[in-house]
Amino acid sequence: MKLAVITLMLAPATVVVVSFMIVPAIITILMSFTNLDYRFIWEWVGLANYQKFISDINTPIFVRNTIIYVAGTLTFNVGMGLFLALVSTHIHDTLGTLMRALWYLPRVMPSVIYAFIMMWIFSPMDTGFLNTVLKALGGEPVPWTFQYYWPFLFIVNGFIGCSFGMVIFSSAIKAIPQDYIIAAKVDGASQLTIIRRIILPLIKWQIAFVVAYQTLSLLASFEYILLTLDGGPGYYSTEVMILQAYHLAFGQYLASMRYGYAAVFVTILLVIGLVLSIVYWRVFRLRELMAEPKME
Amino acid sequence: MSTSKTLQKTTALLLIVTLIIGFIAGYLVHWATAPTAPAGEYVPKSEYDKLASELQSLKAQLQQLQQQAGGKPVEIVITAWTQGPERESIYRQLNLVEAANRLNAIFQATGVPATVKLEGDFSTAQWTDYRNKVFLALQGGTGPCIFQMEHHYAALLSENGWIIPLDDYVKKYWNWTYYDVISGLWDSVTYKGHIWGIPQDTEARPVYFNKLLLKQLGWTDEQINALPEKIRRGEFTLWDMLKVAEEAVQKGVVQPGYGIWHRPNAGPDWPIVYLAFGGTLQDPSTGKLVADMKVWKKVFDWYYEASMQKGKVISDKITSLDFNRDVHPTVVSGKVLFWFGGTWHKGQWIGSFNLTEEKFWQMFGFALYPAGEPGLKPVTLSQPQVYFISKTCKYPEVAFLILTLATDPYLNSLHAVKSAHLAILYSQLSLPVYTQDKFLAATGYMVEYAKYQPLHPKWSDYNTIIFNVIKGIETGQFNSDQALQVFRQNLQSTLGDQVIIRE
Repeated sequence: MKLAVITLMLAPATVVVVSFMIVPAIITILMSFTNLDYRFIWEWVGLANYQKFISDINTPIFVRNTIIYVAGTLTFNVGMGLFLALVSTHIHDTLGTLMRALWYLPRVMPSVIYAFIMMWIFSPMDTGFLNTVLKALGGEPVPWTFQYYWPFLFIVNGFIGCSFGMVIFSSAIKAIPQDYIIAAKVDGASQLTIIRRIILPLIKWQIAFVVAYQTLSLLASFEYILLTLDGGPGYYSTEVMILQAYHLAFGQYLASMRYGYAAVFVTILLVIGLVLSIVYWRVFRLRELMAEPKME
Repeated sequence: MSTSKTLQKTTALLLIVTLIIGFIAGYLVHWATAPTAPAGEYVPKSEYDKLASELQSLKAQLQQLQQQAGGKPVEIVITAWTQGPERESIYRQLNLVEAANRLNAIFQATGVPATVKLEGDFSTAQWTDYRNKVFLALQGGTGPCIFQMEHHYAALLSENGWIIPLDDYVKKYWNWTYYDVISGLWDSVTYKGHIWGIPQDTEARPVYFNKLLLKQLGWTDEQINALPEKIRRGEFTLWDMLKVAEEAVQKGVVQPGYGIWHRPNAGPDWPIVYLAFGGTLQDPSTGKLVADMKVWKKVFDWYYEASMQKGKVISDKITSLDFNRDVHPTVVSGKVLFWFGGTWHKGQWIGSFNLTEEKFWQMFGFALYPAGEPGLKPVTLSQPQVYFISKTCKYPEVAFLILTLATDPYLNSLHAVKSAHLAILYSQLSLPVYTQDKFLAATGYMVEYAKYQPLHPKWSDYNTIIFNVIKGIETGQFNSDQALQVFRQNLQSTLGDQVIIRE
């Protein structure tokens, strides 16, 4: 009876996970062994696509770009999220809530509009917002998206990603018993010491979770690169693996429709994601995070 | 009788009726206009009487079906998807609507108890998104009856069995309108010996030059006005253009990087310079794509010289820009000396970028892409838009009749004038609504120099490689030798035996 109840309770979630995650993943892996293209025919080619992936002159560029993008954006997301959480919890509550709400705006804004606004702000042209301000102040225009394309992408993605960390870290900070903070202040600890010695150690689990979650998200994230630089400005300057998969499947201006080869990139990212999940699980001891609390 | 069977029967009957009406109308027009005709070409009266009685019988049957359907006329729904993305090209859809209205008028006049309803929409989405939507719908069997796309997709669409060949229909209705289609356009829709689409419009991609800036550079009005003809005769090459642009940069007439501008993203334009240097893209005997590396080297040399690494003529930031937000406004504001554009840009500038007709003629001249070197010919690239009929279309002949009625000199000229596209019918060239447009009249000759993109399913990949490599040169990542090496490797890896690499 107990088993039946458990099965019944788990069934909806299991069906969703299997239908929308496991089955597509299996289809993608199978597809990577085919020559599926514009003809929509499943021709089995064994490891030919993987051989092509290894021998292709552009593969190192895509791999390098993926590492830069994930590492850079992750650093920005977590760092900025932490900074915002600390600032918004150390000012008046109303002001802190307003600040968090404002920083949440990019996340709720339609992505195309957000990307368009960011491209206008950071436009390399004199007519861009930042360059207009710079010129008004007597400075020289800066070719932002051309010269500093990685920082630009970290910011574009980071302004959205950091709000996720900000909300989680804020909640965690607010959950810290005030006795610790008051006691530290009585002992004469500076604000910086309180953050370093009390707040950060007490929210390490949340930081670990955000790092793990966002790493895996960023591996499969290309929306804002596509909408802003589309892998440019130069020869595959910002083309990450998942964006290349999109381009191979759906093309740039013209349709490419190389679904089989695109699936190789997705499969490899899937494997990387699984490996990283295990690494994070062990390194960050996430099991302990999910264990029963030892004290109320 | 089931509904679908009834509908099929109705459709079949309607098609026969339409054919008969067409036949009779054609015969009557012929009879009324032909001064003399050999006696053998007359339809015998017995044949005419037979057809007329058949028509009466079919009409009776249709009326019977109508009564079965509760007195309502039989409704044939034809779906049509068309695309801009520029909103000035909305006549691609409106003309189909008008054609359906005309077909209904014919039905009404002849007492055919049926109506044609055209459903669908005109898209202003990005080309990539529109195409993906069409492809996936066709693959899923839920595609529209009629859809519009670039001519070279005839290869991919037909290879996949998504569209029907139109040879028989074109032959059948040749005298209605198809005799009037500019003959070269049939090549652009012919793949493996079959006609797969009906040309909707065509265009040329000229080089616009800024007259005001050339004047600042010391050119006289005579020299400026003579430039298009000089280019046409092959006396002004791409290298000459580069020299003029470099001079403009050196003398401060334009900012560095503002001598020559081109589209900021992937698109059909990228092979034009290669064609101007005498390159060929497809092998006629095998149908395979061709990359002549000697010619590509010349192309990359030219782009390298034009880049910020050398001549400072083409901006290294150009591929970081947005077409509508950055590129068009900059060209229209008169900051760029040469613009590699399209005829429809003139329509866009006036329709969407606040350029007046007067200012356009004052500021811009336009010419073919100059020959790459002395002895070669100037070129332009034309990418006709085409109407295709999908394989899943239940009423292909009705759909084809709509296309036939939409392929009309007046309707097509409305589209051509509003969107600055070129004529597809000979009779448009003498139609007042078309000839009154000074710009279309002045660019009409360019079609003679137009080359087409190859009809090959892998052309998209080839084209994207060209764009990526040129991007690399312009942003300072490659010199021309490195570009050639990367280009070759990309072609080999992506296209394999589908490309013939000529060293």
